[in-house]
Amino acid sequence: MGSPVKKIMLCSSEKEIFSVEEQVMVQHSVIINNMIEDGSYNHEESKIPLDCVDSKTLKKVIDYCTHHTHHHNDNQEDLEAWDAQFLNVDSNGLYDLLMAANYLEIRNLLDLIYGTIKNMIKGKKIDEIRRIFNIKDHGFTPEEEEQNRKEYPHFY
Amino acid sequence: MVLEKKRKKQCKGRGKGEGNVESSFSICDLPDAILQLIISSLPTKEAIQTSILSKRWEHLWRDISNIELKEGKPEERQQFMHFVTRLLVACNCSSLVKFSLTCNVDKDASRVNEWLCGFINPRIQELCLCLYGIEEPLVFPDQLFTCATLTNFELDMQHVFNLPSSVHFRCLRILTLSNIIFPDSSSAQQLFSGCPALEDLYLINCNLKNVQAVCIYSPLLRQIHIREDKDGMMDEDHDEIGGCKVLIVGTNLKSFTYHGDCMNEYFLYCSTLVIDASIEVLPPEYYWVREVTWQISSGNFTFRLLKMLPNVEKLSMSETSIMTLSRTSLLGQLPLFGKLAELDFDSFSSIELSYKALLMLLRNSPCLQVLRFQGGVSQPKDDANCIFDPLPVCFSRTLKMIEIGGISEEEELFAIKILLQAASVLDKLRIQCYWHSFDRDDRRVGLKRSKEFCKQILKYPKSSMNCEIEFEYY
Repeated sequence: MGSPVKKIMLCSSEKEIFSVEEQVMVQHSVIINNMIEDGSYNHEESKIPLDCVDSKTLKKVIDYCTHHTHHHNDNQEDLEAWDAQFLNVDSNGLYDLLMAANYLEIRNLLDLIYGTIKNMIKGKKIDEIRRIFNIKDHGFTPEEEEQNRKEYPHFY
Repeated sequence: MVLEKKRKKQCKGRGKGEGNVESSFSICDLPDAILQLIISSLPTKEAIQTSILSKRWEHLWRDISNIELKEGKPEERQQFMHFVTRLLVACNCSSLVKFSLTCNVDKDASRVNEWLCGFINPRIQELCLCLYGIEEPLVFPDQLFTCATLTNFELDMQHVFNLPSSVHFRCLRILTLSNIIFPDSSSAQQLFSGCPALEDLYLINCNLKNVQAVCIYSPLLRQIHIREDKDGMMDEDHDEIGGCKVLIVGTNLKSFTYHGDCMNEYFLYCSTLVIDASIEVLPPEYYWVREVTWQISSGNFTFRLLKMLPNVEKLSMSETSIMTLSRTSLLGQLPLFGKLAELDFDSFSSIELSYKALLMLLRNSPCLQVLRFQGGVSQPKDDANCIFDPLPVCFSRTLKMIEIGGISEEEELFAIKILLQAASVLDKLRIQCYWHSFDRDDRRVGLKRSKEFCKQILKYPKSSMNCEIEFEYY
């Protein structure tokens, strides 16, 4: 029991303030861990400005860190199912999450997103990847494209 | 820093387009460094293929951090050789962190030497080389042996491993050596002395015939796994392979595994921390099992290993280890295993309960909690009295769980009956039944017969009233 749970304030790009358990963010985010450790965060006054992260994304990031802090003892299957559900977002959402995770240096969330993107490429044909990645203009000349086709016939 | 700039630029760009419903994110908008990380996690061939997705992707793959090359079918060898040689030119080897190469060398030693020299940069962290069909010695780049970043090194090479005069792997944590031949005692010693951060060591069929003695010492060494088997070594002079004395000083050693035919001698010093051990002695060729001299010398070997592991908490023994251990005249000097909680007999067929060494181990393990017979347990006669006399202490104090991984014969029922009568604090007896050991062809018949068989077990008297008997049918 004893002392109440320590909280920190995070401020999104829309200037919305989120109050989060300090431990949750310290465990997951290298950046926030460093700020707390070197004393640059003042519990009375400061809030951490995250100008690159909008409220919707920040809320998701906090959800992720909170779940993984409180459920890290769950069995692997449950955690994976939760992660899959968590990443069931459109490509904009995925991009925003990735940039936020990268900014805050949340390693396990980054790995999760990289893995998801990797699976969009793995084992797929070139047209399918171009469609998924929304590559409309590949920029190769017809000659180059012909050369590529010759070189990687399995990929087409 | 580069990331920082790009991120800001993109945030702005996206801000403008937010009113636009069409502004969908494309993976291609990600910064190079992130895309390179993702590309690096792909199989190498697919990583290279990303170069033709679009102009944006054309050169990204060149800075990948991970390359894995594995030769395929023999008829595609030329293609493979050509592919790797081109790759060496095209990619930026200095960004490689992880490199793995599996191939036949055959007549192409000079080409493979070129690859090794090119791909292995001084900042490599993980290196895995499986090189087969070596006809002349390969030349490893000298910088490899003083690499300060290498953490994981795996080398599988059926050839003499020549080392330069200076070996220092400052950060090497995991070393796996398979099939290599050490040229002499001093180079073997040089290698093991040059790994001050080593934690896990795997020695798989390494040929120590040119080494008289070697000392493996690393203050951080946690795990040693040794596998040796004369038949697996492809050396003509079978009789001359063994006899090396290997001293292992493991002040931090937690786990020790030996699986082999006792060709070299192993001495563990300061090994009181070892809590997990597995010992399997193999006969050099199967029919030798019956040879008494082999049984006695292997029994002595197993005994010496056990004697060096007095604080083991989890021990796994093969059937041959326990059988040969029963043959040694030293058995009476077996130490007390005061911390042993789990004893595992790992075998294909059932183990005889009356093996002298098995009984001795049980008697010398007063705190045993779990006893596991993975291949089953048997007893030729339905006679309990003569076996457990006196009764091992663990049976009346600590033994809570017995697992039996297979049953099909009446002799196995005798053993189970004896165990149930002897174990007075047992909570659970778990028995696995496989239908095919009752009827090879018909699953239904096999299952039915196995269930009838198990019914008998439920009728046996139990000295632990609360003992639950659980059957798992497969």
